[in-house]
Amino acid sequence: MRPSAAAEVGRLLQQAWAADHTPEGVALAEEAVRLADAMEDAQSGFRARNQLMQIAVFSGFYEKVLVAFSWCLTKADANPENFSANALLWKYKWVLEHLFHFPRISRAQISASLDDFQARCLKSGYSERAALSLRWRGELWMGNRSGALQHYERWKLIKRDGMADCAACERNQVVELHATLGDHEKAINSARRIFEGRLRCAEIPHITHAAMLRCYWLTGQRDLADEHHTEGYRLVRSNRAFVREQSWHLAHCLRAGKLEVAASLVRKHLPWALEMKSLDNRLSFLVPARVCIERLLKSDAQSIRCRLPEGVCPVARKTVVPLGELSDWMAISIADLAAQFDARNGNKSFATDAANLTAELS
Amino acid sequence: MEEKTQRAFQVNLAGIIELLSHHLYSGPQVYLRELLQNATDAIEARRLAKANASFSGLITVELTEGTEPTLVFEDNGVGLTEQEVHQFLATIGLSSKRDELARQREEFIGQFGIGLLSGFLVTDEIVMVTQSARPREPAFEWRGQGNGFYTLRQLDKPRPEPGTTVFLRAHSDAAAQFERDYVVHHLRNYGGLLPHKIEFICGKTRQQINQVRPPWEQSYDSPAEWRKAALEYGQSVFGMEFLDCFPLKVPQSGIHGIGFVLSESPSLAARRADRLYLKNMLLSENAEYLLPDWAFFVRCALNATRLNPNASREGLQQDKKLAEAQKGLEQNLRDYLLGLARHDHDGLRRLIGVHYRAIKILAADDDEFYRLFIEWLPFETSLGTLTLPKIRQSGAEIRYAPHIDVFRQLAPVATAQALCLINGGYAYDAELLEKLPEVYPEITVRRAEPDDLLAELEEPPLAAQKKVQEQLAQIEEILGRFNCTVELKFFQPADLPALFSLSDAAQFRRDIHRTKEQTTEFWGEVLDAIDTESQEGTRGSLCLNWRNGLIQRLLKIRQRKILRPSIETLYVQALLQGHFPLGSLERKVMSEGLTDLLNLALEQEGSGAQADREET
Repeated sequence: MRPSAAAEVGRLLQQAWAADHTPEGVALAEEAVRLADAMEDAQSGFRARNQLMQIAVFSGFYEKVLVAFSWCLTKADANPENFSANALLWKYKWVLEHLFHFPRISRAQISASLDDFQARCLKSGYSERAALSLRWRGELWMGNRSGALQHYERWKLIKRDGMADCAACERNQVVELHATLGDHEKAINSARRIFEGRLRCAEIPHITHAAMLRCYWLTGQRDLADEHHTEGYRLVRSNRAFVREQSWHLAHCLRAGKLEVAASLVRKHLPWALEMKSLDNRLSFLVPARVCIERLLKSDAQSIRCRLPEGVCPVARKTVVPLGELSDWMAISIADLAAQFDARNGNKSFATDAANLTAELS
Repeated sequence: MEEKTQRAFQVNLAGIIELLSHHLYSGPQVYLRELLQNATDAIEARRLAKANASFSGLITVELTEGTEPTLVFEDNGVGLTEQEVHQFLATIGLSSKRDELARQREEFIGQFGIGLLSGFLVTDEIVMVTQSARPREPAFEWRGQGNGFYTLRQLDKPRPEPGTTVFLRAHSDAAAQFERDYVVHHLRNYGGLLPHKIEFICGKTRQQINQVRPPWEQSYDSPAEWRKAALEYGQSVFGMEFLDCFPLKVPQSGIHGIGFVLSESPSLAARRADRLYLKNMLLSENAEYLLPDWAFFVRCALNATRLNPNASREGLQQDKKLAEAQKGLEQNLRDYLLGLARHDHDGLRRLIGVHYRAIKILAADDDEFYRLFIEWLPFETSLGTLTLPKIRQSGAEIRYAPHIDVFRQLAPVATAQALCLINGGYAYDAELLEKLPEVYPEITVRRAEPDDLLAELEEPPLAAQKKVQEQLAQIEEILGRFNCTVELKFFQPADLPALFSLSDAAQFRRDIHRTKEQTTEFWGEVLDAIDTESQEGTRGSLCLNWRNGLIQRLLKIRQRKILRPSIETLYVQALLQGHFPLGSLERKVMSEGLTDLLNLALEQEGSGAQADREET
């Protein structure tokens, strides 16, 4: 690459880093990738894509991680002397965590990717622990609880190594497991070390605060749920990577009867949820958002000021969206998305969970 | 003299040392802090018990350099009785202080009895000589070994003054921790604000470590004097000049300090470097979670008296007290900004000039700040960096491009047309713009995709459009295989023959397509599965410029064998100009198109020469 073009790629990547985990950072890194590709410089393209993946995964642009990763892995496998596939293993974990969230990616494709990742881990001297973690969380997420628990029990027996998630993330995963299975007390106990400040990382306790809201509420600790909402929402409100957590905070506001606050969360985060290409995040937010819209309708509100992406939401107007039309569209969208995931997963867990949550919050 | 009695620690000392050195503390330098802390606690305890206004605490630290350097820490604090020694040192985790002073526990932060044991980070034996302040108590010598045993013996005579002296001789790996500069640096760092005199002695040199008191402990005749002193303090502590400063005060947390406004815009990813003292002892130079996320343009130095340290005393416990302190500090920051907005517009202008990003984050989340600051905040536009009042001069409708790359595609044309297009791709900008109608109902805000802006460009006269209708249809058909539509417009600059633009959705689809060309079949199929949205709005658009002479001539071409390579080459040129990487089809077309055009030119040349020969 011409020195000036290489310098421009470097400059863009520096700007992307400085912009932190924001859409701006992603756009700058993408520009660096395109410039490197336009100059046909594979080394710079590899470097730029690695940085793009780093920024995109923490900003909620999981589809961009997948696109960049597939290019990098193919390059590394074809040119091992110039590109390291080993160095991509951690990013492979990110990809696999989010593969489940695209309903048109089949179980067979997911399974093949996990097997490939596991084989690469073993070849690099790591254990199967990281792969097992992805398997049990994936099965849990796809509604296969027995399969999840099988992998989970095996995972617990294997020692942590360099490919394992950090201790804080692993602890949070266990918290979420107990919360999903309805073992609220176990979830509360598991979360203790996180809330004592002894386990933390870039995303913990951010995620844990949100994950525990329902547990505290259902065990009668409503004040504590409120405290965790206040503290936790502050940590996740500015980043679209936390749309799922934002949906849990929205659900909490609805449980607590705080309709105005709930409406403000919908105004702020519904556009993000609809812009996300990982459809489970979209679905997670739509369910409580629709409950909120219905409550607003019952309180005689007619519309909501919100800029929604027209390509996704056909009822979107310029900035003011009629609530009735929005609610109807949401109902269809929720049913459609749940059906897509259930068809891929081979069960009815998504439709059931959506219906249960709607009933709980209504 | 009472015989020495050898006893064992009631815990696994080797395990504790392993815990201290590898899991608890950030480094061995903390031994100096722990000894300072114990000395400070002891002096406080004696001060409270003595209730004597004339009592003056003193800590001396004497370093003897050499092949086996030694450090002697001495204080004139409350000292220990024999029983207290056993209790205090032998049981880890007990609150460190004395029964009769338990009610004054808030005065002591040595809740963790491992303070003295941190000496084992740098030595194999700790010798402590202590004289209790209680009447008729003897002096004791305590020796603790790294192997878990200690001895305690009563000394023949009591010491003239209460207090404690700790002797440490460096073990072989700890020589660096006993170097003079190292010791002085860390004593000053940790103990610079402690209220009791700390003297460092080395050979014939004697210096006081903590002479300078921070501005929040002093009084000044005017705010201007305070500001000058505070900025000087900030420079001495952080080693940099600051743009401005303001006081920090949260009474319920016992917080006093200063917030400093950085003079350059920091990166969003930069780590916090706030300086936190707890009861005048340095707790952290990189305190996080004190200030809100949006306050990344501020650095603070503060002392707190009512927060709880964590086990290592290098951070805070994440508890309600911290949450209250965070709230209070955020309010201090907000008061400062509100003060600027209401009373010091020059100061506000200077601050926003450097830190508009932080103010944008705040304004996006807070309606009050939004209303106060929105007119001051700069936005990148096709007409330069402008604030809202200037942007509004170009019309009641405000247009913004939702993504940086879309803005970059369209800005040159918008500029040439003197259209104001705002770059809404920066974090929070779109959100701030969308909120405008709430404050200014007469303003409409429009999100402009490439097609929207191109639709606004002037069209050639109807008659001219009719003439080239068939040509345009042919061009559209030629460009069809590139998933690209064609438009004919009339725009500046005239020397730009064509503009290629892509919406964000089209850009993503294009990236998938290009990546699929270079990945395996497996990953190609996976990528197909993530491309979920409809085809609408995902085609590129080549906008031909009617003002341009080349386009005028191109639209007169009848022969397809000339039109096709011309259009395809123009298309590829537009891609390259816009820094769009080429897919494999486009690369092929580029080389074939150029070859075809060369051949055509040579054919033309050949025919011309033939005609000339025939004429002659």
